[in-house]
Amino acid sequence: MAVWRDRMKDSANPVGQPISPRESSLYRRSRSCRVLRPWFLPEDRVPTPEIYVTFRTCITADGQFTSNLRILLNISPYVKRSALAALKIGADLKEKNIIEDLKRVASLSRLGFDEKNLSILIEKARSMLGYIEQLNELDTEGIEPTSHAVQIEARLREDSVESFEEHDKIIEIAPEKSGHFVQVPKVIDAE
Amino acid sequence: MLSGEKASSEEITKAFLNLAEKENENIGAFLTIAPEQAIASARESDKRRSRGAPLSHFDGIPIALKDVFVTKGMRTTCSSKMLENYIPPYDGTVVEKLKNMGFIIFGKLSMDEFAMGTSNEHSAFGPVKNPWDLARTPGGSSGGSAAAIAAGLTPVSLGTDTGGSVRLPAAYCGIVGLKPTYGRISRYGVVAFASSLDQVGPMTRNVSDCAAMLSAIAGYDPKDSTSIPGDLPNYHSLLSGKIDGLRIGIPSEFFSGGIDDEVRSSIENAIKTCEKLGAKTVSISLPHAKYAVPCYYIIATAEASSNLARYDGIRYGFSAKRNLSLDDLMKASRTAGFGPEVSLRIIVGTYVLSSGYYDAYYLKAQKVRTLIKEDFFDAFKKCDLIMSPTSTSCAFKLGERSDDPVQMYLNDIFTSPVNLSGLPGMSIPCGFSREGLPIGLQIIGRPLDEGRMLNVAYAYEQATEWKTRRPPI
Repeated sequence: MAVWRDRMKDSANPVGQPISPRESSLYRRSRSCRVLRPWFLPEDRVPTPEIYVTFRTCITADGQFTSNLRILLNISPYVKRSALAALKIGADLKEKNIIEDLKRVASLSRLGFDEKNLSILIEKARSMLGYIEQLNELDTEGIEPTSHAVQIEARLREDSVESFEEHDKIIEIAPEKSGHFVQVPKVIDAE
Repeated sequence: MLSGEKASSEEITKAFLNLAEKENENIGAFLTIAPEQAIASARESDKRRSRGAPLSHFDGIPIALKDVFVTKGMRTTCSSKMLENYIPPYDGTVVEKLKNMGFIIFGKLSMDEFAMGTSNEHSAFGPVKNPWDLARTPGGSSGGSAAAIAAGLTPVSLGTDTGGSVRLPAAYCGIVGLKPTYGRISRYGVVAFASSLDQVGPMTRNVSDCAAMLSAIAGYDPKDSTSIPGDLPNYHSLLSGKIDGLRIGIPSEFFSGGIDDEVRSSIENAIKTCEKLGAKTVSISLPHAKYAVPCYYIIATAEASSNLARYDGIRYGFSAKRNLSLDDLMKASRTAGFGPEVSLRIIVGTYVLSSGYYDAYYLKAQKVRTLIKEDFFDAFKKCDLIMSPTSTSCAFKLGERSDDPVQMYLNDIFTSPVNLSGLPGMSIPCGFSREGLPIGLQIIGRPLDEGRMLNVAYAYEQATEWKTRRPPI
């Protein structure tokens, strides 16, 4: 208990020491978890000697996601309060991470936003991301992913030249052209 | 089919051109009307038929297409500012097939931008209105096609269906819309949204036209490596109207909570009608179908983020002012060229694919996709096809569901599982609400079993009167 209590006070690492030895491997994975969306057993089960907190989605310190971590707590009302406080910190951290990640992704996608549109975008993206998290209710351990619904063998066709006469039409639709070429902005700084 | 001396293709094409010009103010279905090209093609068709050498029994029939199909020399916008002035230098395979059969392409129809939407409100060029009630959405993303058919502005049309984009607008506008098995129709020359889900589909007034259109455009194409090789049935000849002994699966999950009472009772009546025609019903379960919408919105956005990376403002499409660096030019062009929904999906798609989140979102969704698909394959051990509502409600009011993307996405709740599983599905009219709005019955078939699906739809259509109703405009 003492160990757990100490850790709960350390908000940078708000995850407790498990009691049961069989949880120790989980503990190793969860040491650096910051957390959201916990699932506690009902109020009237507290205090019971054994209680689990299931972390549906966690972000580890290095930004990785893990799901369905179960951590065994020997919980007391004090610990529960602390745990909730820690979870709040975790949620705030995730919130911050999502916003930063969305900004980073927007820049990777070569899309720009002014302040107003950015906040609308973030609100909508969070609504979507929150919604799609319900997939974590499903245990998909050992399920093969489907990339195409209909499995078709890759077929090769003859690598033959087909004539296309209207090269001009392709150049014509380019926004900037020079003779038979599509013109692009300067790519390399020659200084 | 044009025959005899009753009317020339030129007369019919001109009639449709006039109607399109006149009615488009109300409906907003057309983005491009092409009188010169259409009349020239119609004259060619008339010459062929007067020589007794029509290209096919479709020769001379006018058709307007969803503006996602690349048409040589005819503007193809995808309802996006990004492609507002794009004049394609080639025809897609489906368009080429239509032209080779003598169809007269006389216009292009509105849609949600890049086919992303369920209400047609995401078009950069204004929403389309539902001919049954101009205050309501025609559904999306093939909303222009559905509205134009319902209003009699084109005899037939084609749409594309990634999560329900043919079937949902067909249901909302009271027409027939079919999404075939993934790979049944070539996607070459169809602007890509989510490549593992996109499929072309016919949209028509009745089942018989739908079968004929499917035969006209389906088949293997060396230019689309995902198209399925093999013989193609003549779908029209499979419409016997006999459904004795057919086993119809009823998924309990699609009838529990969340659907309007009027929709539920119409679907139940439709199933009873099929029973009277000799079909049997079997109760089935699709326990993972409820996860289809979140699963779909991970996979579809991820694939879209990759497909839409091609719009760089350099080779074709919208380009921002010059004298910018390469990076800044791309950013400025994409920012100004894409509408808000498209930008949102590109960002969410990039997010779910980015390192650190890939396993938690994209890989997870692909695994859930397997579970959704396996449910259908288990169900098909007990039944020959499945019936459900196409949507939970009738067409909703324009603007009603615009604020929250998730609420809008839920319109695909019964249709997206079918895309994720690659199965054929269609929507046919099966009744009207008290307010006079159409209700759609969804039929889902086994892979490549479009023939049986069409035949059931045909049997039901022949036994009911819904197809004779016309909107008030």
